[in-house]
Amino acid sequence: MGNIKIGLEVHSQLTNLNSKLFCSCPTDYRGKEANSYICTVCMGIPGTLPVLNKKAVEDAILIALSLNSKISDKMYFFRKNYFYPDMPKNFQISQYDKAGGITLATGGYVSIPNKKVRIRRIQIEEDPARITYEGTIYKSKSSLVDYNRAGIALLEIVTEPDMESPKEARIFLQKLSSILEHLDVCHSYLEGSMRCDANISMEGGKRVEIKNISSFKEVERALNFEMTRQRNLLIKGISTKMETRHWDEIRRVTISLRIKEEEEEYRYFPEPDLVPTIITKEWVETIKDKMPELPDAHKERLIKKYELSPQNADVLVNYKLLGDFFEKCAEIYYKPGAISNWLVGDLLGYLHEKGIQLQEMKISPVHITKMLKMVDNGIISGKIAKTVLEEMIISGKMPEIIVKEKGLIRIHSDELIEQLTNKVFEENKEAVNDALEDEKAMHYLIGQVMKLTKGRADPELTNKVVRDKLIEHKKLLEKKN
Amino acid sequence: MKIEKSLSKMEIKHLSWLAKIELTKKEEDLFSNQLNDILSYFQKIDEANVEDLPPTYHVIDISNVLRSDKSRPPNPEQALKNVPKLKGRYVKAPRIV
Amino acid sequence: MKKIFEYSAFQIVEKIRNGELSSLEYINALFDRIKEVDSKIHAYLTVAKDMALDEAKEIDEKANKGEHLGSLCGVGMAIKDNICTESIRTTCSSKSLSNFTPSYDATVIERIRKEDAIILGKTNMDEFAMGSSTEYSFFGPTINPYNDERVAGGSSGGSAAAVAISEATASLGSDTGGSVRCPASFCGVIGLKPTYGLVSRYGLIAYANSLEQISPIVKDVRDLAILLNCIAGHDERDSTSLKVVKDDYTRFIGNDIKGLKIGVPKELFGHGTNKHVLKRVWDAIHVLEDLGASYTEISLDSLEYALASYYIIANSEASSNLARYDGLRYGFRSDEVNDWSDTFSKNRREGFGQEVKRRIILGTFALSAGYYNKYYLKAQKVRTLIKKDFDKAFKKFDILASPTMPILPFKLGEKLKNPLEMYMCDLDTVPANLIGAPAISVPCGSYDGLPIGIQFIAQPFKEGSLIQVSYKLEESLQD
Ligand SMILES: [Zn+2]
Repeated sequence: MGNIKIGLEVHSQLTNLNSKLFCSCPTDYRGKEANSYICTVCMGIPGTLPVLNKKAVEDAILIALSLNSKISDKMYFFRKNYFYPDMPKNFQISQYDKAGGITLATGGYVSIPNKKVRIRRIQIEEDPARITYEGTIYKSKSSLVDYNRAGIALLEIVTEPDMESPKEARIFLQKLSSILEHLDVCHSYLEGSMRCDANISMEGGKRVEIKNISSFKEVERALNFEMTRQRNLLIKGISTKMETRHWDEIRRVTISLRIKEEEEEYRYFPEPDLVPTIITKEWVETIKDKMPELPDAHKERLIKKYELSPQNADVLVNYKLLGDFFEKCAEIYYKPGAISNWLVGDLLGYLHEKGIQLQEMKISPVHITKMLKMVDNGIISGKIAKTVLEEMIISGKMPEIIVKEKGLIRIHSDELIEQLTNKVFEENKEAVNDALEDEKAMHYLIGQVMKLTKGRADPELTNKVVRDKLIEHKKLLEKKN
Repeated sequence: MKIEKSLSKMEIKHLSWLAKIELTKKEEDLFSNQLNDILSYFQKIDEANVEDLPPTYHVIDISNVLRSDKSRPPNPEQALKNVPKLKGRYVKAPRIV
Repeated sequence: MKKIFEYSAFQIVEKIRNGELSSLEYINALFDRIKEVDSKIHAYLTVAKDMALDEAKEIDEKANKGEHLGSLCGVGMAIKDNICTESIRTTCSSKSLSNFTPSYDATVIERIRKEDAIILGKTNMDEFAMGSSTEYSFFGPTINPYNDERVAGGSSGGSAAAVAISEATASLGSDTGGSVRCPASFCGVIGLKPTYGLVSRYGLIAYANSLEQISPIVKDVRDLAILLNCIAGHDERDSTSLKVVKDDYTRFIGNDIKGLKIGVPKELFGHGTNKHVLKRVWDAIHVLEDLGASYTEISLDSLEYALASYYIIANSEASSNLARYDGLRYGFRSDEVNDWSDTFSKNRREGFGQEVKRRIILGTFALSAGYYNKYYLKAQKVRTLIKKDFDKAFKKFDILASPTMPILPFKLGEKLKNPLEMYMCDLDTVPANLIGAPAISVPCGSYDGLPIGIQFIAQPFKEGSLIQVSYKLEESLQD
């Protein structure tokens, strides 16, 4: 089937700002009471006026630099006029690249494996309010508006249609969010902080826009659905029409919005309440000086400094918080390879399984390094360590406490293991006989001993005891014969 | 003066839809006449030779009015003072679909 | 003998400061005056009597204790109803804001309060400042104090009429295309539109942001200087507010005008101009000539595009500014019908008057796809053209003079049928707004009992020149 072209329009909040884009309201509105983080400006109360947040411009410039974009030497804000109940003024203060407008930056690219995804433009705008419903959107008699989010600084990053599969779109978004995370300007783990519209077209069909994709996870899903839908149409000889569709997260389908053409008529014009912003080379330079390490350099360093596998390094860069966590661990304990394996494998796997966010886990690097030392000193087995790790993540208790509370210390007592081995030999006579011939049966016996100790028996010791016992048993049998 | 552009009633309907102002049939008729008079007067600027001139979006020559990123306590009481319909702490709005 | 409510602001300040006058007594007199005349004039939409009397008492106490009294101490002021006043209803003369009580003071209100002015109430206007007669008010028109069959001018008709008939000692209006100069001229008082960016717009409910300024209306030029001293100056809440060194405008009072060069643009004396208006304005120019000024008739070709350009820009901005009145967050809210879109449309149909609707539709059109370049962008380029013409003129002349209004105050209802005819009234006033320059209307006589005003326009920030020449004219005409 024909080529696929995917372009993305990413909306990323500048989550590290203290105040909103045009007023002094604080930005940590998540989890707060509805309409508690608002003022007359972000509510669009008549007579109030916007004043631009300097740091928002600087963060945006930093992002544009990191995406290799060309920073405009002058930028304007434009009003994008459209009515909707989430709009405090029924226009959005945004930017525009036509009608004499200039957005913050144009061009640039993001490197992903085997290609560069080109950036078309980057612009600053204000986030609208949030609408909730009593019941579902379809059944609700009215909607409820919470303006806490209204006026939060938002960066729109528009790509060229350079991605050729939904998977590639996901990889791009991962890379982008890793870049933003490295810049410390947008923390995508915050709910709704990064949202996305996508457009997809297949050879022989028209461009379709998908709106309302609330998280990156959903992007791949939505695009996959849309790709299949368009493919099926093409097989039937129906060409897709140019339209805007809405991603229904719950039903996991895209729905045609049947937007009237005129609804796209935004009547852009320069915002008269804001003056132009001139971005001098000197200003850009001082921002450039603050440029932190970016994902590609970060990965290279991890591989070089800690001799990590490229795969592990990739994960640690994609999950910047985990990467930082790793480096703190590596400072404390000398085994970076083992640490990275634990973090990338067991820890991240468990977090994903339980749906826990990295920043929610209750452990410090010391938790991990202590646990590793216990393994290395033979106090607990690797298997037990996994149990300990999971418990640490949930409760935040230190590993030695968990081991003590749960009695997880490895059994080193010859006597006890011998006793248990005897018991196992008693109860599994057939297996014992088989074990004389068959390695597998021997492992079964070892396993039974381990089971009786809930995995705490020192594996080497158990191995030795079982083997000795078998040899003894063999000798006994030979004597008999 | 030659009238180049006149607004049909359909266009007025469309504009009133865009501007979210319902017009009565009578208003549509009245506006269609009045607005066309006004527009034909506006056409006067067609004659102006402004080819090489930039637009004066801002009449005063200032730039870079920026505020430092300091947050101040929000003021929801001030912001919510005139809300006609609240439901709990939410602003009640008509249904979306 | 002047009655107590007839005094100028500077006289009131002086008398309160030296203990000759009780603030309470004076404010009471003003409210008695309002009671006496406002049922005929309808300058006020809301009076804030209790608050005003409390403040008057406080000022008297301060005076008794010998504490510092501000530069506007005790002065009873009327405020146009599009300037936000905390706890005093602010309607923009619109049904859509008929129940709106701001939770904050506009910057200018903070500033006049800080100088101990007293707010008497809020004044009538054309709905959202869209009009030149104060007839487009949801609450009914303001009547000209000189002739009860005629309009007071607009859109700040209430603020001008209140000062003219001494229901207030001074007032604030707003001027987007002549909205203080027009009613000042029609009511025989002084109105100054300051340089764009000189006075903070924070708290002014927007009609056309890039054109308008809050503007004082006063009885005499000295009051103007005092009031401007108070309200001018940078405000960090308004991004278009300029950081200029604060001037003392009273220093221009009484300076002679020998050698002052006046330009007289013939386009502002168009053939539609009423001959009695022409006569009085020329008389005034000759008075200035007698005082040592010289004048030259000039031509500013681009002015023929000014009115069209102004209305395109103003209506475009208005269509966006007024989008927020959907009934969710404040203001009039109608019953719900169907979905949000239908409800908004109904709300706005019921909340706005006809002229507002007309201008929103026009502005929506001028910004819409396919017409932006032809209308909005072109109008903004014409603005540049006009600015260039004026820049050239100001290289040769200190000020420009013209009639404020090409006509005498017209009869109530006379221009309601034809909106374009109403727009034409603004022919002489809109250029100053387009170029951001200061402009003043000063009374220069009357015809048949109807006041006539002369307009002076100066270069941006040359309010001082306007005060200087206006004071000299005022002085001469009083003699
Ligand atoms: Zn706010």
